[in-house]
Amino acid sequence: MKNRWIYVLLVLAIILPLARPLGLPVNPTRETEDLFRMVEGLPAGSVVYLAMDFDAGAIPEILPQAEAVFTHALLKDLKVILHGLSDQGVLIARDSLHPIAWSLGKAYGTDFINLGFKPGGGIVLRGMTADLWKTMGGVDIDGTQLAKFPLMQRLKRLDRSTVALIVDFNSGGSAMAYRNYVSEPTGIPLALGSCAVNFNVQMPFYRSGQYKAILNGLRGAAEYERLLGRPGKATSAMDAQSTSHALIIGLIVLGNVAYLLGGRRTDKPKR
Amino acid sequence: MAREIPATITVLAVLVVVFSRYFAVGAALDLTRVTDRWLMLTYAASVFVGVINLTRLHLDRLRRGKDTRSYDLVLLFVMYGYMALGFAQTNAGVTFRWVYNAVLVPLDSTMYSLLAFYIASASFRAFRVRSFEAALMMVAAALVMIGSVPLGDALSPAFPAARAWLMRVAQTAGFRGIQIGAGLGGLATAFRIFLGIERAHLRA
Amino acid sequence: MEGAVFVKGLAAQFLLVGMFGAIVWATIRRARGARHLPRIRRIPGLEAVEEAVGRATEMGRPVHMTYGLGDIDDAPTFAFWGMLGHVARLCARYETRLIQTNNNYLVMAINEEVIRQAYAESGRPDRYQPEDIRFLSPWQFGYASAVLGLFQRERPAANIMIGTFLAESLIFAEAGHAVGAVQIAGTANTSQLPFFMAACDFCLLGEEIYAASAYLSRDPVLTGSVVGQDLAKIFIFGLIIIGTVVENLWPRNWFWDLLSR
Repeated sequence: MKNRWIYVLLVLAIILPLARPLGLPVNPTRETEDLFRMVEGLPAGSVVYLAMDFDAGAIPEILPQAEAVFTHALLKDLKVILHGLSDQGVLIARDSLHPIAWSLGKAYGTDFINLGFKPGGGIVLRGMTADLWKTMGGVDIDGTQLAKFPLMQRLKRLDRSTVALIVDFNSGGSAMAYRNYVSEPTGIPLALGSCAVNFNVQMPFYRSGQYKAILNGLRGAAEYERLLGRPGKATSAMDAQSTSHALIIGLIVLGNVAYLLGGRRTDKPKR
Repeated sequence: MAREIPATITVLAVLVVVFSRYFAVGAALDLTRVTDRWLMLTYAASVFVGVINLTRLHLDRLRRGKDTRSYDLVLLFVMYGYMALGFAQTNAGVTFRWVYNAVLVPLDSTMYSLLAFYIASASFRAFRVRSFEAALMMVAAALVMIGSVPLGDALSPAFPAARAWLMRVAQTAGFRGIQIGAGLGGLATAFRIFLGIERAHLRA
Repeated sequence: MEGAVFVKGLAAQFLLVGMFGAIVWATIRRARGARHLPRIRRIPGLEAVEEAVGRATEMGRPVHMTYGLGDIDDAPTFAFWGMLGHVARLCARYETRLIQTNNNYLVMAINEEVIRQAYAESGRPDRYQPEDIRFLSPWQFGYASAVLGLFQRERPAANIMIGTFLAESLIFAEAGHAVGAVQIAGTANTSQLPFFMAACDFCLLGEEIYAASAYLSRDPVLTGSVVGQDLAKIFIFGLIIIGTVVENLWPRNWFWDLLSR
């Protein structure tokens, strides 16, 4: 089958359920419930650190996760720090998460803050555990002095006494940096919001207790929305994921039927 | 000398990091804070290396009159134009943010979305039942795929249960084997670099 | 007592890493004086490199190499450099164009030197073309789209991908497949291995990439270090088995205490 026909079918499998949802229920998994329970169990006023370590490409999968967890944290009257090892993640947060906070009547600098981006990966994180203000150059994403924000007065560095939970929304390797440079030395619990493609890599560390919870791609976001009782973008997009997965499984079966009927002529030696 | 100086710096840097990480005195001195700062500065300054390389390459192509001239011009214009806009407005500027949200975000998302098509065509090609192992892989993949979506939940609770077992037990076991091996391989490479045996990067 | 010398909880880790290093060092020393080269098992992906470059030469098309999104301090990037020198020497010898694309400025600076030196060592410094070592974009998908375009224009006959890869791995591999390139890929990123397995002709799994420079150079000292690495690995796996048994029989017992020091 020509690739272009596969592509046409895939486009239809995604677009049709978006236009006419099937309304299939999403049952939360243990990995998502763990994060929901952790956020739910934190006392009001605790600081939650949301790392926005994803690029624009991962918006469809990861942003709904971040929106759900951010909303949950603010509804619980927790304080939220937004930060990113990705230059794009913090800008996406400013455009997507800040308006959620305004709509809930929360104040910038008192209930949440966006620290922006600094290049250097793990080195930045190591610096933040020693001196948060200095590492961030003493300013937030817009260059405003950190001294002006009440929330920052009790946050001089990342440690167990100041931060109750870190959630790393990542589309790449930043989870390992948070694990090695922040969570393990300081003991701050670390949870992840992950792309579905990285879920398998992160699972062994969840099983060993190094990650306390993992949101698995769009499904993780939809599960969190369900637990929160606020269905959003992820819930409505899950049907499209169902049909596209079904299509690919169908294609695999079809490919094998054609392969077997064709006397395995098209087989290319696997080396 | 061109090899000895970088090799010596490598050895010194390793000693500083090991001393600071493992030894109580080293941790108290916190020498890595200084080396970390140098590294952060190097990262920031290295942006210019990329800008210079791109400029040199595309100016050279413009001079030679290659048929990609219009692309070269667009690239140079966008690179320097957006840089200038950033300097003028900072990243909080209205136009800067508009360009980011209206151009970069959709382009980036589009590239990521292409993966869906590539996965479809690659799986169509790759999951052929050539052998028992290939059949096993195909069945596992199908179970994980159907168990990951609400359709699987709706069809039978066995699908999400099978997916959960495959992810939590089977793949975790395989992953740990590969990852521990790769981690130790990486550690051995680090030793080779420290001992000055791995010199592929010191060819100058 | 050791609390005064070591950072709490890291003494056992330091000693384990030290023992690992000692085993590697001992085998390297042994390899220096040895007459017979230790044997590394056949790795088809590495054996195919010369064939792939030869094919590109016959077809009059270039070879493309990338390390993905690796940084200068990533171990897979060092594995890439080992492979890059070898491929560049082959390309110089066969007079085949080598296009090397980058998304990291610091790694690119080293790549330039590795390739320049390889051409000089092969007696063909005149064939070194700095414009074929290209910085494309520091953004993951900006880089991926630039590589897609480059594949369509240049149609490489061989595509060698060794390093750190994320979501762009399948984009590269499918683009290479579309232009009919022989593809050799290797990464320690487990999440991307299935994509490379599905879409490439040869795949180096995890630690195999770290054996590349020893395997390709046939250098006795490097090969000795790979043997040492394997011996050290047997030692570590032994500890894992002991740990698993002890932990299951007597949870949180002496073995746990020992490794927590």
